[in-house]
Amino acid sequence: MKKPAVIFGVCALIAALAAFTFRAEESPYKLKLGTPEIKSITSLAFGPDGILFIGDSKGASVIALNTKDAANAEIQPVNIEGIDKKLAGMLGTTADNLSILDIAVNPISKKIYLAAQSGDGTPVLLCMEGENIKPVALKDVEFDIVVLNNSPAEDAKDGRGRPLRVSSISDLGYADGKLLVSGLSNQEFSSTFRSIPFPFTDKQDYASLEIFHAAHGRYETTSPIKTFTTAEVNGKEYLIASYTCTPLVLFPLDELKAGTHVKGRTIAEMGSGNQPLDLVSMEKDGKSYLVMSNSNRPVFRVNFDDIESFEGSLTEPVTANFATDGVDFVSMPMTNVLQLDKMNDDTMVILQRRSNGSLDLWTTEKAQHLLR
Amino acid sequence: MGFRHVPIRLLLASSLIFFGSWLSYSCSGSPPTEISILWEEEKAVGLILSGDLAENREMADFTFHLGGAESSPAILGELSLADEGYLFTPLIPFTRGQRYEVRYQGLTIGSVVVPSLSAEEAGLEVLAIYPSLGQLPENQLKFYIQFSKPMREGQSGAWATLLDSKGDTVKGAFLDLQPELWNEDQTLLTLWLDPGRIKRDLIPNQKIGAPLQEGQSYQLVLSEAWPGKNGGNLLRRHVKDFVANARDSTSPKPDTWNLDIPKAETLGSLTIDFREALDYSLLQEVFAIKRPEEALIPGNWTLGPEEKSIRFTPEKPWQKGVHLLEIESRLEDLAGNNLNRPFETDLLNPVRTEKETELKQLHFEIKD
Repeated sequence: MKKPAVIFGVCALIAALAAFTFRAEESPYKLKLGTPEIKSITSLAFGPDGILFIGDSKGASVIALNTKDAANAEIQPVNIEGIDKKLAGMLGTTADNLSILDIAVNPISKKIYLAAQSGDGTPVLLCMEGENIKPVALKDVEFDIVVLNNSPAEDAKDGRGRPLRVSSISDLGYADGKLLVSGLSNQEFSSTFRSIPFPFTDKQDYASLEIFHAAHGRYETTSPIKTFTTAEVNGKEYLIASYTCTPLVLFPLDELKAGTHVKGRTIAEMGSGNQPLDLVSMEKDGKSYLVMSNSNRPVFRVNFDDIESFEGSLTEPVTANFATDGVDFVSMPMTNVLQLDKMNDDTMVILQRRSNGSLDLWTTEKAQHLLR
Repeated sequence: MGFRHVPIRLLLASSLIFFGSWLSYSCSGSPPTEISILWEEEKAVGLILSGDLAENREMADFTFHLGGAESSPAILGELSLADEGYLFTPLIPFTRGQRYEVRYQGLTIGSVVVPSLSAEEAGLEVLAIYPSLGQLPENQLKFYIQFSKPMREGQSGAWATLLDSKGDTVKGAFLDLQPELWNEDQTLLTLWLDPGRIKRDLIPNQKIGAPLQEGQSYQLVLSEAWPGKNGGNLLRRHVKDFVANARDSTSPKPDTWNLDIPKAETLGSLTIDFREALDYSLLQEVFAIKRPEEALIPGNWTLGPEEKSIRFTPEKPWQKGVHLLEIESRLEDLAGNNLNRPFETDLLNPVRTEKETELKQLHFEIKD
């Protein structure tokens, strides 16, 4: 009697293993196997389970790539001086022929991914294992793609040659099962903000928004979002967006619905001659901060408590504080930070042009005082 | 076919192969060997090793390096077998003007220089700057620059300059957008004058003012150092002179446009005169002509001088009767005022009278 039981047990084990193995081989998130057509890699953002969203501004699309890099790991501190020269050498060119367009940290493996582009426009995706840099395969991979050009203007109209509209992606994010894409076009100075459910479906549910902000309650204009993040303020999920013409604006995420005229609450203006570059939310000793890198200012941080307590909108000029209006910003001792991303709640990775001209990539683990 | 697939990359035999340059070199004194460059659309996308250089050598022991330094790392790429020998395909194309070394088991066995392009060979020119008008409103929003060939991205901040009447640079005049707004083949760049400086009451506007001041003359200068994707530079410096006129804060009004209406049964053109310059890019996309409750009338649209008019020539003769000219309301003038609303809405003095609509319509009648 024992034998059949053992045989049954073994069979069940094999069946369970086979089922498990089979499931493991299935593509998650309805991804397909193949080689995506990628014309450019201009923004990066991680989704769930090692899925990397690649913003392709030139192709006006976002590619979801399964990096299969989904094993939990500890942060490996990085401090690479002259990363542009190092990358250029590995790619057989000179630093002036190479641009690093974005960096993103895989929140699970804590590995840093870099989007670079050579002078002739060839995109390259690289991954860092500690300080070793390796190319990420983009051929024969699991991927899906969503095309953003759904505007009627994109359809070629007869007798008019090629459309002159250019759509570009300014930032990508992922929150709550949705890919968030802020876009800008060369024809209107405004933002399209799309919220696209992931996994992508055949029927694309775009929430395309026209977003307004007001300068001191008087002049209301639209503007492209340069960079954004999502965060909880007063128990509510918000989109915190920074515009190309400097205001920092709060939008309740649940109000961002397709076809609506959404007006954000301007909580700060970031001063003149400056471009916001990256926004991340960090935590340190139980406090949450919004950290923002700028083209022509040091890195700012603002306490979320201040955003929560800043109930108003900028309805009239507020006393200037480091040439900004609105909530209190503290400048951190870092200038010329071109890219930043979060490694965990209290560690960031930073791409910085040092005063000696060197382009360095480093993690803030050794500089915890920054968030004190 | 043609190549034996070894690591990952499968090469198509249809790839354009030009044996552009070959140079023999050997530091060990062995017979001359051959290295040739694989070109695709002016890009050096691979190196082909043939003859003695490839013979009886293990693929795994080859590395490729940027010349000049012993310590330069191996270039990322793939080595595969080709009919002619071995083909090395780097992750990004080789850079013009650089020398590349082929190393075998760590020793240099050959090198090749990827030739530079002269400005004449590169053939890079500015064909046009829009608006083409010489008098622009002081709240002018953007320029479109048309190049003859694809240009390198991320360079406009360095090579596009706005000079005032004294020849001084107007600092921070343009919006520093990364990525820049290029069309797909990278021949048309949209350059925004910083809207944060143009929008009234934003800090940049209050602190440093708008980039353009009424009554002043300016030059938009594009430097000859602007590099193209093919590795060359612009053939010559390009300058657009203009004068800033009064601010334009009103939306274009289609009912004030003049229509020059052709006769029925002819292929005559319909000319729409806007009586002001409108946005070059939008103008080419926002118009449609229809018969009431009928499909689009096919034909060709041609922009008039200084983007102040547009001409429609039908493919088939006009029919008698009422026609509709449909205009998408997103059409803007030079200062970003569209048909629905001005660039800035003054909430204290709202001027909106008409309902915002996606399309505006004009009727016109074709007669005998």
